[in-house]
Amino acid sequence: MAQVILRNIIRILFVLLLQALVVSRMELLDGMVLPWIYIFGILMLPFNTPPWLVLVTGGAVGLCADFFTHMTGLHMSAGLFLGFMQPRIQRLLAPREGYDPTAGPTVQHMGLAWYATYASILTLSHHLWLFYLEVFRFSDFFLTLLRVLMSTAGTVLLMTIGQYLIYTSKASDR
Amino acid sequence: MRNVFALIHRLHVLLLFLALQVFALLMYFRSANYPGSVWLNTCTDMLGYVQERRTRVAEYLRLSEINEELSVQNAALREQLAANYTAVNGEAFTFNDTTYLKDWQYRPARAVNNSVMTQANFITLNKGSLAGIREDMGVIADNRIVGKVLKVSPHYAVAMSVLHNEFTASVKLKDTGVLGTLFWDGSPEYAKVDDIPRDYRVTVGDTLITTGFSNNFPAGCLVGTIYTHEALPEKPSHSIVVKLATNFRAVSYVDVVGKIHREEQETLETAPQQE
Repeated sequence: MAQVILRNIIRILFVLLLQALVVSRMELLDGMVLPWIYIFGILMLPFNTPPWLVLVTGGAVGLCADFFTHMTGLHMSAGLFLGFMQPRIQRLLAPREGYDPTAGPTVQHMGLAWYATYASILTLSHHLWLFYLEVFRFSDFFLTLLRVLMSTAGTVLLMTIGQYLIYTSKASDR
Repeated sequence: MRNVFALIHRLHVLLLFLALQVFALLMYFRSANYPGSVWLNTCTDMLGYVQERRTRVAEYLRLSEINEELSVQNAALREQLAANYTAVNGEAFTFNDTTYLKDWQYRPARAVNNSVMTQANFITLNKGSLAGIREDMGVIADNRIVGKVLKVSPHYAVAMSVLHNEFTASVKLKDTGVLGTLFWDGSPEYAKVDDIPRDYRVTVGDTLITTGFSNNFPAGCLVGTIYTHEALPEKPSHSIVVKLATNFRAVSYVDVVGKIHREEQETLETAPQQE
């Protein structure tokens, strides 16, 4: 149990660092694609995590992201929304026999199709919240929407690649 | 009563979500003008340290490019040296001219972190209050505007880039001296200028410089050139798009400029009028 908690904390911190030092510095297609991969840590919380804990973790991770982007509350708000949605989307996508409670939502356990659906829905909801709250106007509605969609694609792609890098090498691990 | 508790128990995640969300949004909108100002200075220091480490690695990879930029600047400055000029009338003259009062002080710094892609971009500098940097000073690179300082800690400063939706600066057309207001709306290479009346002619390619009125930038810093302009019937001023002179993606060596007599000027300007 303690090991699972520790592993999740390390994963969350590692992804936050990766976001701050590498991914946020990438410039793709003139700023149209801006992947926010720090949400990976929230998506990867094991299935038996209580919903309130997912919510609080989402807020805390968002606050950390606020810290290095010099914002206050923007990422926290989006992170809270993601943390709120995560258990609901998991329930929506549950297989008929239910989840293996000790497993995590990985490609390895759930398959690529399930993971892609899961990650896309959650990333899209997070990015919609984040980008529209950031510009806070509807004048460039479609431009912002395009940025959301392209960034979502970027985030999901990076997270899926990450899954293969981390998990396939040690097949027994979860 | 038991029903109420049961309801709270059933909705506890939703209630927690709403409570925290209200907190986050309050924090976000209350700090809209000065985002990040709630973070303590120690945090700025810590973050600045990490980013400086990262920048050292990244800068190493483009050292030759930076060298070239600096040597071009050096050459331009060397040309202005007194030794390059011969006094026309051959008589001796003193260089220490007391008819001039130094008005702006330049403090060199380096950008250790910089973003161009969000709606609110910031630049972290590796000099802080110990180097004399104060809030609201201007940041320029090679005499082109870059941003203005938002907050300082002992060793670092965070500046609001021109690429920030709250950034404004007072600018004028270099040729005619007509005043306008610069603001930014989302593209990393372009900004907009408002308040130039339609009575004045503007042409594509006209140069815009700072006015020196706002106390952030000395007069004459390069802002950019007019990229497109149109006169809309419903607006009294031109809608102008400016191609910014600064390459914000490659900001690295900058000068932080501060007006030496700023406090004196501001005290005078805000002093109550004597009857």
